[in-house]
Amino acid sequence: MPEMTKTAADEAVAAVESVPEQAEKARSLWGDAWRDLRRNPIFYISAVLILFLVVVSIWPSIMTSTSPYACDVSKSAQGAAPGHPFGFDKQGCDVYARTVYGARASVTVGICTTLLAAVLGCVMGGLAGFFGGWWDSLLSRIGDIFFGIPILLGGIVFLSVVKGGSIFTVVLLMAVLGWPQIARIARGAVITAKQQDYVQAARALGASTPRMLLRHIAPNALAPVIVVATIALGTYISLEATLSFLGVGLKPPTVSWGIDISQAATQIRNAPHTLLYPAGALSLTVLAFIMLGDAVRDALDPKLR
Amino acid sequence: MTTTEKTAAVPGPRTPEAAGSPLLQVRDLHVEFHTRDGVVKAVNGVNYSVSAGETLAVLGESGSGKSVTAQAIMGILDMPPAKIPQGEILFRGQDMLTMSGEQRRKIRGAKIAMIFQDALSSLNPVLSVGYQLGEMFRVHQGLSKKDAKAKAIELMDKVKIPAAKSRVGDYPHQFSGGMRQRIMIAMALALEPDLIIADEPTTALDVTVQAQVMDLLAELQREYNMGLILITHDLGVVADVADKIAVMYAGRIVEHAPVGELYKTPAHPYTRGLLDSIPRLDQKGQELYAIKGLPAAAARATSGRRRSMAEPVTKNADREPILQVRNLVKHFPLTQGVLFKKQVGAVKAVDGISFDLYRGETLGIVGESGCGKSTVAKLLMNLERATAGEVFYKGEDITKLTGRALKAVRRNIQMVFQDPYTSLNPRMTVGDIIGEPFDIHPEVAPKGDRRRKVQELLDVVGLNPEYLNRYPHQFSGGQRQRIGIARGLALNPEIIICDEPVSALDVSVQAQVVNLMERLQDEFELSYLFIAHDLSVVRHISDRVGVMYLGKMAEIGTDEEIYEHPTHPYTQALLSAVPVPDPEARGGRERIILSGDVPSPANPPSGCRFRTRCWKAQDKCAEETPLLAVPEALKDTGSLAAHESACHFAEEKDVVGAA
Amino acid sequence: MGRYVVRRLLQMVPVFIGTTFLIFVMVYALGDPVAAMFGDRTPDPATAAQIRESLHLNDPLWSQYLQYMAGIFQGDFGTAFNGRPVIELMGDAFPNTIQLTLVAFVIELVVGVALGVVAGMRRGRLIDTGVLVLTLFVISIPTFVTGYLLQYFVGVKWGALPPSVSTEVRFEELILPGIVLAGVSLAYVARLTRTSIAENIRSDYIRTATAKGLPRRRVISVHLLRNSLIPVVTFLGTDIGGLMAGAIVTERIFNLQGVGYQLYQGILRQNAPTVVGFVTVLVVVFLAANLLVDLLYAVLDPRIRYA
Repeated sequence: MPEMTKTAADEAVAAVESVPEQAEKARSLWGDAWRDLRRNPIFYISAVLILFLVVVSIWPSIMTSTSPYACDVSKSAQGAAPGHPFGFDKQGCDVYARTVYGARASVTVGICTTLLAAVLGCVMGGLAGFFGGWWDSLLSRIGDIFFGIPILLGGIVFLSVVKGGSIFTVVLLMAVLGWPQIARIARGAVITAKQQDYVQAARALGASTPRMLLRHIAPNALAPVIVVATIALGTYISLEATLSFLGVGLKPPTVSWGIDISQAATQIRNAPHTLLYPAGALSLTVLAFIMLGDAVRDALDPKLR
Repeated sequence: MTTTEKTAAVPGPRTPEAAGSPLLQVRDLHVEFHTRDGVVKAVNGVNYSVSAGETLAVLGESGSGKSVTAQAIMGILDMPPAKIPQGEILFRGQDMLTMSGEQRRKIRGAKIAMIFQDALSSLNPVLSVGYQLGEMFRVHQGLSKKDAKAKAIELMDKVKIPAAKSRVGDYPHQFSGGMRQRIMIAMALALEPDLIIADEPTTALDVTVQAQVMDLLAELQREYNMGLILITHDLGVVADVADKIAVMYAGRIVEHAPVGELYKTPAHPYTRGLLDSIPRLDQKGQELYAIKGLPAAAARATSGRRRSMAEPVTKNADREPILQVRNLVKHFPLTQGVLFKKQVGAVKAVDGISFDLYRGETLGIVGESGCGKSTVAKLLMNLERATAGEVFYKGEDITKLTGRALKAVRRNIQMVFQDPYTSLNPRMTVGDIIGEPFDIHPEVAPKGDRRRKVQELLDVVGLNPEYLNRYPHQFSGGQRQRIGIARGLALNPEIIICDEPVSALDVSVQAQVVNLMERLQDEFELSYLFIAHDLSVVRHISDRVGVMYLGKMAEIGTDEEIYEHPTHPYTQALLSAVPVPDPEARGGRERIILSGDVPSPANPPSGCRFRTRCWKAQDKCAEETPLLAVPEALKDTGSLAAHESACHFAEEKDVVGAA
Repeated sequence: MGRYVVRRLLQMVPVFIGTTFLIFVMVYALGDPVAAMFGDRTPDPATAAQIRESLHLNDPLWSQYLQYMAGIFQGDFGTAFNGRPVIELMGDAFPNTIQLTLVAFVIELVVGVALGVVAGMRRGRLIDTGVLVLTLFVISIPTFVTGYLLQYFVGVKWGALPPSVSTEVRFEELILPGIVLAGVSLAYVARLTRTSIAENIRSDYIRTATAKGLPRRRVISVHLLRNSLIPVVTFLGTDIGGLMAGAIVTERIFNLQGVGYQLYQGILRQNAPTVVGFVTVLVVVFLAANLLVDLLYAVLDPRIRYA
């Protein structure tokens, strides 16, 4: 995208700004972004939600004392009962307990996949962008190869073959297929940062390559990567649930909303509550991360406001 | 090829035809912007008028409200956030602010047209220029697509775009900057409007192209007897073309006068300051006046050094050069090929340049964009590897150095960059930025001493030492450039290479920074290589000047020699194209308007590179590359040895009209 | 332009080989196709060895891959679990999936762009916020959840549209699955269009167009829309492949016997030729769509065309 040209309003504002404020405090760009974030109600909503989800996935027992595995087939598909606010599913398990325990898989998969994909993507994209030329061609083509397989397709093929079903395999698979998306962004951001005069200035001072990369390029290329990674986190959670729903992702005994939804779907007519609670929890989780991504983007990329 | 004309010879007076009723009157205009951070009053009660055939120059620095006023006249302000709480804009006696949207639209483009500064972004990138020109006729006159295209070609001919017929289907990015601006002019002229508003129409252009474009605009204005509002910050351009001037500052007109009067006896202190703050092509000597109260800490910078005219300019003769550049070449390979790239040519950015830089002097390098002057800076800094040639610093060829040896040399040769907005890392504090040289060269300052050193440097460049923990975006452009200079000074270098250090700054701020640089040179015995496109600034600061054209040095010598006795036709054309901020000089100077654009450095002309645009060119120029040498014509005159020109037919010519 | 096309085509070759090889490795090297054929039974060693021989499974992997690819170029994708050639299954499945994808694509294009334009032009107003919130929800709710919900409410409870697809695959039966499949992409299209419009509306050339005295309608349709939709077209093109992959879920919910159905059967029965065959074709579609987008981009934006 070409850089925005100044509008009349910007120019007018610039005129006012050029008068220095003596009492002004030091404000870093990260600080500015943080201040913007704190002014955004969406950030608070999503942050509280995510905090809650993380706490629940670490200590599900604080939300419920019922075990998700304590099932009683005689209560199959029954509605809400005292101590069982969401009722029972087909196997007679407590829907509330399963919904609470399901958070762990989703949150773990989401966060781990994002971290792994971000690290892979930043290293590959960063190197491609920084060294350019031959390295760039090679790394970009490798990225294209993985990018050529939609995660859902690759996931179905791979997971059905390895018959995994553990959180580890699902994370690994999604990260391996997901990193090119982040690498593309990282590459672009590094190339942009690399061309800035301050990098030339550092070189002119005799700065070493690691110094230029870590002190000058990385901090300036990080913002777009953070934005993409946060939004990707939500989609990874959604993808895990989809794979589990299709029967190739996580497998019992792991409690996953995707599995529960898949089972509930067969009896949507007589017991819709067994579908609605895990589906609602899943949607809310994805929503929380996508909202966070939106808020972070608004704060880090004020141009789009 | 090239037209040489005395502007005085142009027939007809430049005075308006009838002083009776002005074409456009702006009365007590106010414009506000309602933003999230409150109301910004951009225009506070502006009054001006312009008649048919008259040129009104609106002068001011960025943020003065001059562009906002123009956009209000055009009716293209975004409302909201803009608001016009008060005022009238009368066009032929009718208030446009009370008209219906449809009435105003019919005036826009047809009766009042506007030319914008940046033609590249102002033209739609995905539509052909023919379409965009033809659109005027299709919308306002209902012409068919075919007729509109014919009209578009006609217009392109009118603004002297070569091969209009074959280029009508081209897209804006396929034209050069000057040609694009001609297209903008053509678009404004399409329906022969009564009034044209030109907002910094030549600011983005090189000086010889600027001369072409201004010339064209003036010619067309005369032909159609149009009113012209010229918005600019360039006092030289104003002196050249304006009938009257309105000086704007902070949303108000502080002075409004006929052009001669304003330059001779400026009434308002701001106008006076503005006039004194610009370096003059035709004068040298005085320190630039730095306007106070504008961006910060100007006070310190005013105690500059005095370079007296009595000082011998031949001082170099008895000195050893500190930097010797010999046949420096940089070719950027052009590659082509589907799978395997093969080299098909090269952009000859720098093609054999030699010069010396002496201790304590300032060597200015001037040239238009694409001449290779910035590449020279990068080569000297080893930011680009030279294709061939040597750069000797203390007897050592630094172009071949790597690793530790290169790092050691970098302590002594530093650089100041053009754009103060991109040359400072936005995520580092000013203290970290200025302190970074010490991190990289820890031997210069022990760790405990760094904070004090950084504060000292801030003080030296005229910034408050307490600003240490602030970030670059909290400073204005001029202040940032001071930070960049402080960083360059940190390692106590002997040479500073300045790549357009003031060209991104407003005139008054420019003066402060130039003064600061001169003071620092005396204080720290620095040698400057000062690269710029602004010939006036270069004249002001330099002891010697080199003129570059298409990767070659055209002429080099002391500033007095180059500016007062130029012998290379390109130098002469370049100098004559620079408008002098003195309306009295309007008629007296000979103007050389070069035709065409600079050829591509990928495929430069044989022999003398300037021959395709030169009025002296002969067969010899195509066959034999002229070398830098003391011109024959000067040899007997006993003129200074330090004047060399790369022209077969070097001959002196006064084009500046020195005061 | 011609050179650009050739370069893009040649760049695609290594990507195509790499991607298909990757899938091939996943299925043939990580899994055991012979064991898979017999499901839970233990195959007779002699029979297994014979099958291995006939499928060239004892050759090195790259040689197997080459033989497989050679087969593909002759239209031989191998045999499915029920003894039918995979190519025949494709002939049955792809028309259904393509119809579904087309319906979804049209919905995505029309509704997505319309929402985006409206929001982008009225940035910061109520309608803009509304579109943003709506798209946020659509993106957040996974397709299989929306699928079941819409099927239950619109299809079963209210009976507004057929809740599942019959073997004849009638158009009205595809509307509901089309909406479900388009959902998330539609939201992305709307957001992208909105950003693009909002950015371009402030650009210098729009200011020029206004200053030329063009009527607002013309400024928007000729100058603003055309420029703003270029990135949207790019997204739409890349998304065709994504839609076909996403159809796996939608087809399952609405019982459409398309690519997703066959692929799913192949996975259930552990039939490697079916899986690799279908995925290979989908990947080719995905790559072809990417290429098409690049070319379209060059057609729409002269700055790329003449670069």
